[in-house]
Amino acid sequence: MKPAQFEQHEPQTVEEAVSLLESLDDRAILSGGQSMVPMLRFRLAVPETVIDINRIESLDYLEEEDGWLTIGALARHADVEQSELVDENYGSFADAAPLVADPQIRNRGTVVGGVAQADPKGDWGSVLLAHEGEVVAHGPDGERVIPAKDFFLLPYDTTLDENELVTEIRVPTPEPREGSAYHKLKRKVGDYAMVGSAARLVFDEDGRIERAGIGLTAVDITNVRATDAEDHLEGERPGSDLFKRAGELAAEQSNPESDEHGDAGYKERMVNVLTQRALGDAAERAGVVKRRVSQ
Amino acid sequence: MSDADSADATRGVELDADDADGDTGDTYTGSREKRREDVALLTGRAEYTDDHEPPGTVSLAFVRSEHGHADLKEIDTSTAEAMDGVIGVYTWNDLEASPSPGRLPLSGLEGDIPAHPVLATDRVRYHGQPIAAVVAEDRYRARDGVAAVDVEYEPLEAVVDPQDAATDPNAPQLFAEAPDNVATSAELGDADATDRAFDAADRTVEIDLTNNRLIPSALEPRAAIAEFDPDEGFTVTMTSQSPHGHRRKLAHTLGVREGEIRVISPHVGGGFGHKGHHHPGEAMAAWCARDLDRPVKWTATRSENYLEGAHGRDHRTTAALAVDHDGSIRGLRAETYANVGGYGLGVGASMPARYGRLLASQYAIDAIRCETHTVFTNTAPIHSYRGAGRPEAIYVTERLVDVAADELGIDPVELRQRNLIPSGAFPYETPVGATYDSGDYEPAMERALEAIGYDDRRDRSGTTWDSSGEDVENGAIDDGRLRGVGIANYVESTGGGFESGLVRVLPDGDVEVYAGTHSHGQGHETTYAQLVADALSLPIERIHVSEGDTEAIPTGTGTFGSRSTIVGGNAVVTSAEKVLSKVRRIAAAELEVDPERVVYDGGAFTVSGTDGSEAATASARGDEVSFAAVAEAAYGRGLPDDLEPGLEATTFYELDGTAYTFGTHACIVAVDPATGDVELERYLAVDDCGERVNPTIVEGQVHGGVAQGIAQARYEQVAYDDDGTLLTDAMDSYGVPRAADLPQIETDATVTPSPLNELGVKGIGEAGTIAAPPAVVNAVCDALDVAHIDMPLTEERVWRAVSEERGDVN
Repeated sequence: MKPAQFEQHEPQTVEEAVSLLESLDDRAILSGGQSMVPMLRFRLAVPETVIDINRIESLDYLEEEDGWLTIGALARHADVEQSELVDENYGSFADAAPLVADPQIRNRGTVVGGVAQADPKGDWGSVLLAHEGEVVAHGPDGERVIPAKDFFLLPYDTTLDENELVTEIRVPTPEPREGSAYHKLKRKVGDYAMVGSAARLVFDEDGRIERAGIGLTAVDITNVRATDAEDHLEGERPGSDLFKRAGELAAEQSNPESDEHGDAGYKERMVNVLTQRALGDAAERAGVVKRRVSQ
Repeated sequence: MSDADSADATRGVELDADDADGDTGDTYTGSREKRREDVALLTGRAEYTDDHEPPGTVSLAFVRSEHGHADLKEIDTSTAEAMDGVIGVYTWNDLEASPSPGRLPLSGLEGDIPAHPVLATDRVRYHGQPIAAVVAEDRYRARDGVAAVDVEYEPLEAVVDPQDAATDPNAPQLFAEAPDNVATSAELGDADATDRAFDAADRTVEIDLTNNRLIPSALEPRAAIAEFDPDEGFTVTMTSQSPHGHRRKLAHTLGVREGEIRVISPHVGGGFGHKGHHHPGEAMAAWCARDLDRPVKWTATRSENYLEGAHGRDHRTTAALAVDHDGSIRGLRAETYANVGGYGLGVGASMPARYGRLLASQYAIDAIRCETHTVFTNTAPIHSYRGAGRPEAIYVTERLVDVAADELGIDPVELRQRNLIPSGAFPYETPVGATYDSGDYEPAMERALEAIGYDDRRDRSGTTWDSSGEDVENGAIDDGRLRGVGIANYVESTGGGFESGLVRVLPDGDVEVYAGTHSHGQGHETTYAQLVADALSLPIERIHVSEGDTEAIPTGTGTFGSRSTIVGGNAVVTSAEKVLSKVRRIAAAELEVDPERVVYDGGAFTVSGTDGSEAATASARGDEVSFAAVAEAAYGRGLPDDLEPGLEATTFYELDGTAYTFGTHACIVAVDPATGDVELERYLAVDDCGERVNPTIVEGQVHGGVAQGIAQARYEQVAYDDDGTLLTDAMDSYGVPRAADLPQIETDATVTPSPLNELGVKGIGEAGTIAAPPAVVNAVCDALDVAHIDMPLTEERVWRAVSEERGDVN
């Protein structure tokens, strides 16, 4: 790594970090370094100061509390990947974790950092959106909770205030008849998504879809919800025709760009395919449909 | 896409388990001797170029062109020069004012085409071309200095496609000396005979294809540390596959004598050709070391490695096969535009013109005609990359054969078998001037077909039953994926040029071996030790192999083109035999008998014969003299009067001809028709490289080559935009696959020795890169029942092919 020169601070507490944010002008926050280190290395980021939050031990947690699955800012992708709690109850998280980058990066990179980075190609933003999760931030005025749907603004830009630090993301603990899944299409192991689709389905006692959440990766300027598809699903009974239509609606609502891995038309089509598959897995995991015959 | 990240690495499976241990009795040759270099490599003890840092070392970094084609209006270095820690900032003006020519030598082209300047003159011709050099106290400040150099460009129209560059009258011209941007054109084969073959044949099958442009991605990027001493000259420690070659080229660029340069190449982490080529970085480091009188280090960043090249491949080919209804191949015709890039490097601009010499592949074809144009474009220079023309040629033929089979309604395997060069026909001269030394193609092919279960597979191509090979009726799950099987035959030309090998016996009987090749992953230290230990009947621990220092090693050629074991191996063995002959004479003197009476076994010399002579007496006494005692004698007492002291020999070995490795690769793919994702469910390589000195090392070469071949077929693609901007300038955009993207690679072998050398060996280093691309593409086309898809087989391309085939493309 050959960055430009910078000063580094290592706060021990959230309060200390926030006061550094207040007192320093040109600064970047370093947690796992999954994106920040390459940006420093390529000198895409040339901050005067780096605030390394890895010493704030209070942020290292992944647990269920008061009806939420809470993930602290220092929980690594690998923590999610290896969590039995996640494995048993949060299908979309369990799907996404091993698909983030490679093992070395999963040991360092954080889920919260991935969300805060707001890269439209990031996986966690879509999962968070599908689950109607929340982002918890700390600033000079204390804690603030931001619904995920209000968090992402532009590529690498969020509604976070200038002196706020994201300390946690959280999603509701599962309802009795809930299932979720994440499907990701990438060129090779470790890559960012060409297209990704997270789905969460909650069913009522009659087996109808009570709530549907769909979050899409790499097909717009931020991770986005496929609201048309969600609306179409709610109140309906699961089935391949329904999911097919939801996939089409999600594709219609997406705005992918062509790049060297695939053109926009192909990616739109993949939004459709991946959304159908994610919905199918989610319904199956909710226990309301039998194993699908084929992809 | 792989939905699971379970890293199932390329662990190999040896099919010929019966003889898998390669147990050939009491010789090292043929055994699976463990690679002796691996402990140092795997524990991090091995020193690479960048690990080396003489006191006072300063760091070199480059300002590189941001444009594919532009005139340079002004280069303002003043801010950079004033920066703290910056020691020197250089442009072409500084090189021009120095005694050095400052250009990278270009060979093989007619006319007066400019050679690559180490720093750009007044125009840049590719994105990433070095414009200015900054030397600073450390690498951080060097990059600070680079960022502070202000270059004013006047962008010019660019051309990146070689066919466009040569055939579009509106294409920008890179050099006035190269009309239509053509560097060189070459014709192979008999045009009239080929025309007649096509006229006579029942039908013609055609294909247009691209052999995609690739970037060598060695684990270790290129690096150099140059030191200069007014009395001793230059010492350049660098990542070189070819230390003597680099010495010669550096001398040319610097304008000094070869004797003034010592090149040391320590451990090298992969090369694939591009560490044999002469690039600006290393030359500039040497130039700066002299100018500054400080050791100068340059280590390429990964991005620089991507920007500067040399890249590989990048052919556009139109080809046709003339076939009869019964499947007899009568003729083959190809016209190729091969990309050279913005400048030629060495023979890189002319060599691709001869790629067609392998177009016959394994087939007896009456007539072949190949026209190749090498063309300048506004892209990084292209040079040989693992395979170097062979993958390009074999891909054309092996794709054509599959297309022909489909059109004729003949099984592609049957079509191949019908046209194989028969085993009795060797040496066999092809219509494009290659003479195959030996071959027995049918058995290798049969082994591959049997192991892959070809007949059964072929029956169910394009269907969706799962990888267990079971039918759904038998309980298998239909996962919705289409299966296909692909076969590719290949030949590989190996063993060109001469190589040096020096064997020196030390006074205590230890043996030093020096070779002009340079291992950068191939395991020479082990292979050469096995060969020399056998040649001298000594324990392998006594053998010490060295490469990579022009001061210690007789002038050699280097490691590339699958040549080291053939020419380097035979060189060291021949030297060992020369030494042994002298050892025998000294032993005879010690034993006081004629040399013919001396028997050498188990590291000791004894006397044979019972003719009542002195010898018999010696024999009766049980006299013996050890190899070590002879070695000591060679440097001191008891040497016969007619022998000079010392115990070493040097051989410059050259093959009389070319050794042709061959084989058959096969793979089975599963294609997800909804996404275009391709999984290689099985990959099998049957290779014949003659005698195998170390089967494990041979298999390692196959594994690596296959991985690179699959990478070309499935993942890797250099992308430039129309302005000549490299889009795939980092690992996250250029598709080097990871272990988990690759299948388990199964290997098997047949052994058809080369008659051209005593060891019977042929090269194997590039086989996988040659055979894998057509094997994979053939399998995917089989699964989808389509004629052709260009590499790399991206999800999108495959999905489009499926959709078009089904008529539902949206």
